[in-house]
Amino acid sequence: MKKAISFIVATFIIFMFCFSPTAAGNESNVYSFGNTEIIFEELSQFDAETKNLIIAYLLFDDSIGDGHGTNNPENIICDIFGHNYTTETVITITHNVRETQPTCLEETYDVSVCSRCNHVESTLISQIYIYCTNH
Amino acid sequence: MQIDKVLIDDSMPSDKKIHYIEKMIVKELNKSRSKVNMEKVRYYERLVVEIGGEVCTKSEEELSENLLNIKKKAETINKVCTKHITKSNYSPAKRFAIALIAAIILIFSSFSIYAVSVGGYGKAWEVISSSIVDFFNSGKEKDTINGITIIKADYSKEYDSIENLVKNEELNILYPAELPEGIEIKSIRSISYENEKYKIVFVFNKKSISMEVKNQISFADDFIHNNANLKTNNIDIYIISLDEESIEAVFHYNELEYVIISTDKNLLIQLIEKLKGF
Repeated sequence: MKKAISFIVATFIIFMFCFSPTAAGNESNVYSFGNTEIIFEELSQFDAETKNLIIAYLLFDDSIGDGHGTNNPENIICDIFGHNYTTETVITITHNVRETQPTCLEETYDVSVCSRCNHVESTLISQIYIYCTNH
Repeated sequence: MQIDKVLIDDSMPSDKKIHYIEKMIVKELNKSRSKVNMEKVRYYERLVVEIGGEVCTKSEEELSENLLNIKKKAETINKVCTKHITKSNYSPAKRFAIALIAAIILIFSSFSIYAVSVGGYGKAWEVISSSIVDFFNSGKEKDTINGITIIKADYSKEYDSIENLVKNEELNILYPAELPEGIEIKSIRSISYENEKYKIVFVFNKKSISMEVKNQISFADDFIHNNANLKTNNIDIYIISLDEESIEAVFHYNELEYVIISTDKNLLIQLIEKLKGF
């Protein structure tokens, strides 16, 4: 099961590497995948590669929002000094969660990414339902 | 070599004469090796024999055996001395220097191994230096329990109360001034995203409650007016049960949309009724 998830995430990351130049070129902070929108801060410090990593994590990882994060290969410096995190707020909007208005779920996460080992972890800080006519 | 005659009183008994000559022999032999007059010694020996005494002489074998014993003793002493010298040869400064060199070699070896793994010394140094800086800055947490911290993309500041935070940050929003027992505001996030859209998120110590203020209106004014089921401070509030657990309240004030979710309807209404900033 883990191998299958890893394969899907890896495939998605490779796909996102192809996609990222378009998104970066438009300087967009909003990414849409299926019924989910992922919105980064306007002054986000994350580069396109890190954003793709976060998107893959938010869409596919089971540890989302639990404050623990991904199981990356161990990095000796991270083991000694801890992770070197950059933390930002990321918003996800999941459409059509409910049948009647408000139909869409808007969640706000604190997402931290380690610059050394790409360990990603997130904490859900708020969630609300919004009136939404999209999708 | 001329030898002075020994003046001995003839009236002395023989044993005293011999004792006296013995002293003379010892005196002569105690001189340094180059000054010992062996002829004088032999002369004294002859005198002793003449007086009737005996000169103790040792065979070659006995002398060799004694010499061997002396050599063995000398070797043992030499070993002890050598050990002592070895220990004392390394002064504290020298020992410190050796330890320092060993430590430098160890650190450099470890650094080299890590540099190979990350792709170069430059990158390795960048990573390590940033880790050291982070380590010493690790005490500077953004969130605090005692105060309330405003966190923006490039800035964060702690305030002692929500009133001071809202006033000093010029937020111009309604805010929960009085909270039910056990509920605290940990921080307030000001998040700007696409096309000048922003929202302010109140982060509580309990996940069962959420509050956001947005300049992006998702619920139409008419929708809220038509569906309002609570009115407080002359504001129409639309309260909806999302599922069996959560209740959401939505209202508009000063062109901002307020959305509050709680698992407890009474707590939700209490929170709304005690909002300040009108």
